[in-house]
Amino acid sequence: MKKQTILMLLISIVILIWLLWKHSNVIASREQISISGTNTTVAAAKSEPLVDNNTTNLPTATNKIRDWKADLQRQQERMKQTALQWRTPILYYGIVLDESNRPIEGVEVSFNTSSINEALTKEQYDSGTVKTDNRGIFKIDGVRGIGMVFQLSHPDYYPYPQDITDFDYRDYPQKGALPNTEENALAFHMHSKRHPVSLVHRADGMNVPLDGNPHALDLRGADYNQKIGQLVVEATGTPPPRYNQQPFDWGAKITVPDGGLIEYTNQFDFVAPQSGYQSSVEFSFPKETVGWTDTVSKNYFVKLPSGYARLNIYIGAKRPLFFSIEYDYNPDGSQNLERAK
Amino acid sequence: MNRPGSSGGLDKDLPILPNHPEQANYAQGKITCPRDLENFFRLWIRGAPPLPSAQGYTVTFSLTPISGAPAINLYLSSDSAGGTGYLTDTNAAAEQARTEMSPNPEFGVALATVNGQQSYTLPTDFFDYHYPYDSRFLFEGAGSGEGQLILTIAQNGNTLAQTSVFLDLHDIKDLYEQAHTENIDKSPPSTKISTLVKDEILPANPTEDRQVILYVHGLNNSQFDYYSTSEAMFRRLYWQGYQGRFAAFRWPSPLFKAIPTSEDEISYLGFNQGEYISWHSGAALKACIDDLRSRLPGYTINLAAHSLGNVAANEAIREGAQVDNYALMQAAISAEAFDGNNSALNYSYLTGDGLPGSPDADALGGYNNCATNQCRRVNFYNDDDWALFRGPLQMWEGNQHDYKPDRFTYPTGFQYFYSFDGTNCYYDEYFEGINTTHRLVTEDFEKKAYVARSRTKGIGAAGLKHAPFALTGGVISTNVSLQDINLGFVGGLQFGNTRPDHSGEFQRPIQTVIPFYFQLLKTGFQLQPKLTP
Repeated sequence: MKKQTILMLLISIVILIWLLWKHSNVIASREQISISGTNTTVAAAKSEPLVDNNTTNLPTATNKIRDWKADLQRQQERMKQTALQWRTPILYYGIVLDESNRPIEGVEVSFNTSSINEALTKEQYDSGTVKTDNRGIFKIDGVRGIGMVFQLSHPDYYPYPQDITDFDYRDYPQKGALPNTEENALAFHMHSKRHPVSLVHRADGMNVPLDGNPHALDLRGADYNQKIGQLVVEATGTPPPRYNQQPFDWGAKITVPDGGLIEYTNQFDFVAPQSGYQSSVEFSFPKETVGWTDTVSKNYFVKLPSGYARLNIYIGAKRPLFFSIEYDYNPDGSQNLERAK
Repeated sequence: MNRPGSSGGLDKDLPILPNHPEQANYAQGKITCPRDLENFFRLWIRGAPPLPSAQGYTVTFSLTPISGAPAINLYLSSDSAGGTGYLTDTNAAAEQARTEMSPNPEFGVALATVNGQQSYTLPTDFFDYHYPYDSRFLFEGAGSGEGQLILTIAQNGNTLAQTSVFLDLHDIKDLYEQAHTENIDKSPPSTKISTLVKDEILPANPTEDRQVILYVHGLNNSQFDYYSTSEAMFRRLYWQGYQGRFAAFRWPSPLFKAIPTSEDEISYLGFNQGEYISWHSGAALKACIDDLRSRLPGYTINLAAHSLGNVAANEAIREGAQVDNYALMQAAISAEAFDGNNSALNYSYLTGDGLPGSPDADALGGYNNCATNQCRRVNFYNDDDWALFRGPLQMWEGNQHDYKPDRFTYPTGFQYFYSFDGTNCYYDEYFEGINTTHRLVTEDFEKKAYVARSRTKGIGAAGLKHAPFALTGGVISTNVSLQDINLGFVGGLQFGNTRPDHSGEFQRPIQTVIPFYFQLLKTGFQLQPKLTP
């Protein structure tokens, strides 16, 4: 107790010194402004109004009067109330379900609060981990803060990117009822893993001249020297010399020699289909296109002469065209493209 | 070469670095933490047959200087395949940094320093006891200069084979351009125009890619922090395959102090002053970009600005700087500056009733559409960013709410107030309730920094998680969430709500920011990255 009292006393003294220093600095600064503008001397008392009627931009006093003590009290109260928000007790319920809406037991939920210490002087982070029960429910309790971020993990499941894994009191009531009871538990989803295996994962790319001619990019296997296939890109367009947000005509065609592509949109699709591939895909963006864009990012399964790959293509329409890829390739030739991470 | 102190101070918010800032990492003879590994390169011995000690074989590394005093520290690679996992994988990095011998060798302890005076012969039982790690090494620079690293294989004193590689080791500060701004008043009003001082200019290099990445730091950056963050970014871009020119710009960002004792320091409520200085730094930054353009014709100019450095960056563009690609990294500037006609961005916390008047239109000194000059902008945002939203008193947001217009009452009886009457901005001082100063605010920078309140979130935290649930459009080409699982920001690679996360690009070890630098190059600058998460 004694220690706390001495500490508080010391803190008060330090704050007082700082306030005095700060105050004198502001006054000094004001005097400097006055001196440089009016060529007067520094004789003015600190509380004396500095008057210069010749220039509207120079300090000029008015006859306004304020209740500064009330201002101070309001300011202190506002700061305290704001700080106290960071000490709000957190009680949070969530429920974790799989892709078929069945509860998942044993999901590890790690959390990290945004909080402040009891004396309201220093930020702090209370972190911890809880697990879902056999109903898929988890509860975070006994910590304080204005909110928290958390992450879900389970060795047999993937988190959904769309799930917003955080909580903040400031988002309510816009977000609905507070999730502080089991009935109001917020639902999260995870997707079951199938058969993750070791895959070759690579990133590559090239700059493609906008000349309409074919330009090839090799896809490579476990050994970099092993070519497993090719993507051939033909690009055209009239981008301006400098970026200006104005639409322009551009297009690109991507061909897989001796193979083909098929787009997928479900991020949990890991098995390449056997059929349905087309030898090439084409993007065409005349400048009049509704929803015109100068970037494209798409996902494909790719059939190659030696097997299958799961491919992301990113295109930036500029001069030359920026063509960037990331892909997973199964060296076994299997259609399973679920990468163990 | 990792210079003294070039990374030591970065982890001031993370208790993971035992090394002292003034002490060079290379002088310690060990890998002090996984982040050090971004200073390490790979060295393989290929094609050598088994060299059993019983047959009298010796293997020696020596270094013949050509200029300066080149030196390296040699380490065993913990990856028997000699891969780059030490840069991308936290487990591999931890194993490489391990300084205890069990069960494998202590990979984190240097085998030896090799320089002009000192060669290193592998112990006679080296190949017997270190299989399969006996032909894959890492090294770090330990002395500047050019030299020939020679590997000699001998048997009973007779040289059987010799091969070599040329090394050109430099202080990292010799490898990137540096400039800073001068002629700035730290507080308003001011009519000064900031000027550029070039500290380090590199000569023309026909072998480099015709790209420049210019980095601008944020608030609360000392000179040391400027070097630390610049060099962290430079190294990480290098490992991602960037082969263009790197440059770093320093502005006089004040430092947060509980008790400021100089004009270069501000209290935790002094954010507006930092913004004011950043606005003023825009002219010098424009001069810096103009200088790069004139010295490097045909180069693509890529700008990467962090936090409050984005105010200077956008002011430079506003003043006419020609930037091709611009990455905003957790930018501490209003979202409405870029997309002012989008009412979905308006934030009731900042537009609500009871808040004092404050200009919104750019012409009156507000933020609305004040940064719409043409440039390809990519916004790297974190919904839970500490400095923009999650920190105590709501940090940037709280400052907009409580101190825009700026005002404060001191227990000594001194008060100052900024105000806005619908047309003009004013500054007033009171002492013990009596008005002592009344001034019309005429400077746009002062209006923006001290009077204008953003009606939206800071763009670096304007995502879809918290109200208002909207992404910034307008002149923003692309938004990249630093929590997007699809982009690799998953688990420990995701940016969170803590203070170090705000500067995670630099504060974190390289192994946990691979997705960021991957996306910075690919989406931000449309350059091909190499290291995947």
